[in-house]
Amino acid sequence: MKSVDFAKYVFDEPYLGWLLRGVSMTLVMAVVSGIGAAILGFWVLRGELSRWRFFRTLGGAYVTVFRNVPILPLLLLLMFGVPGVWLRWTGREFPRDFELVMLLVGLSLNTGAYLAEILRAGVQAVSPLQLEAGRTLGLSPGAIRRKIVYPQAIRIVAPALTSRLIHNTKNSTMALIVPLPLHQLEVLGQASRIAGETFTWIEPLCFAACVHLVLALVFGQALNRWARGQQARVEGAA
Amino acid sequence: MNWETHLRGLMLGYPPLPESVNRDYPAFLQTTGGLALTLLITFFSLIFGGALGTLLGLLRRDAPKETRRTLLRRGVEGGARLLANGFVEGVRGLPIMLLVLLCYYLPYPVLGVRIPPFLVGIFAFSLYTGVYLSEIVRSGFRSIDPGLRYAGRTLGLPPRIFFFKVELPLALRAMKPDLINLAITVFKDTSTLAMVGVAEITYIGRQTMAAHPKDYALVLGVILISYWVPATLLSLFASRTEKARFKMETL
Repeated sequence: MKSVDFAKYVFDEPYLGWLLRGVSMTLVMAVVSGIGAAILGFWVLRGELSRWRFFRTLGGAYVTVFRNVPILPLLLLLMFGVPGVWLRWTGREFPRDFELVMLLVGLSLNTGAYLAEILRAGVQAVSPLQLEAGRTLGLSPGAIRRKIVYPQAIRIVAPALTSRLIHNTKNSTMALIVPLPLHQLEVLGQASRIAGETFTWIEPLCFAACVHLVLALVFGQALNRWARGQQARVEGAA
Repeated sequence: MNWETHLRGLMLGYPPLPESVNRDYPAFLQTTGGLALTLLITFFSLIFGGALGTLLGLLRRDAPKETRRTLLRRGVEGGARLLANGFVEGVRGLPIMLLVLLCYYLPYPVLGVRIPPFLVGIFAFSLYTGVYLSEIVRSGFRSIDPGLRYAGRTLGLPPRIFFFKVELPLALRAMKPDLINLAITVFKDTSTLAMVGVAEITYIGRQTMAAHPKDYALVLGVILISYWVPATLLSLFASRTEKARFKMETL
């Protein structure tokens, strides 16, 4: 039985600085990969709803592939496979310090597939009568999509979207398998760095756990508010 | 290129030396590895997590309002619900990686016992399954029309018979697609155990790639395919049952 000492291993220099840097990296990863996933998911959705069979197949294939592959093997693929293929094709070493970019790409690829699937359910839930009404008013297809379909679709699937984006935030801990440079580690990476130096796991792990619990709460509230705003836009226009 | 050895390692693992097998724990868990161990851990987590999740889900169920209960019973039920809710929300807020690390690193300093990694894996994923399952169980029971309860009482069915013969089968049918999806998630997420030295397929793949960097393409391909094929097959099955559920609701 070992006594727990948060003052020494969490709230003292240099460990507090490391952990706070880790928290900021977690936030950066969550936001950047969330935005990347949203953009990716949106374009996959456009592909899946396209008139052309080619784009539909492409979108469907993307979703089946990336939804059914766990994120750690996906990151392994990006860390080992992509540099390997690069070396074979170009004959040069893969550029260094690309680990963070690869991690963000991996997170976005994974979450993007889920977001596309969720958004598709939302779009299909918007009543077809609304589309007809839009067409009767002489709106262009683009305007119908932007002003009628997407805001309502987002509102309908807001809880699923929110929980997936929170899941994406939690997935940033998968960065543990990526050999990031020390200043780019996220909070769990910094926690395990402290553990590696001090041979104590409880305090840094509990700190990381608290950070993630708080992040889930704060992100959840913020995203829910945003989703409600989308609906207000529809009602205001009507 | 000794691809046969790699393939065998990825599917069944590299068996440990006989003297390093701990006799206190089941030997088959220690001598298997690779995809076989992934599947074993998924299987046991679903069994234990199933029990935990059913219990938590039933505890968290909203109490039927119209039944008369004693103050004591209401208090006990409310307390249990509060505890179960706190537990579920706490575990659900944690990333699975953090949950696995907590289960791996906490037992020794806190309780003074060393638990072998594969048991840590089964424990962590049972918690994970249980917590998510409790949510599914809760919504499954919520999907049942409350009018059925009145119908059952009018017919004079005892509460226990009503639960086992009416409520449970209906709720199970409503929960089926979500249960399959949960199984897929657990199967995929067991890859996290590679970080705590459980010799499942991702871990073996990483070690193999470190030892034979030239064979990375083969190893990565085998890992990705052995996750992708079962997950895709199961999700196809889930979407078929989803359609069946939709039909049931519209009837």
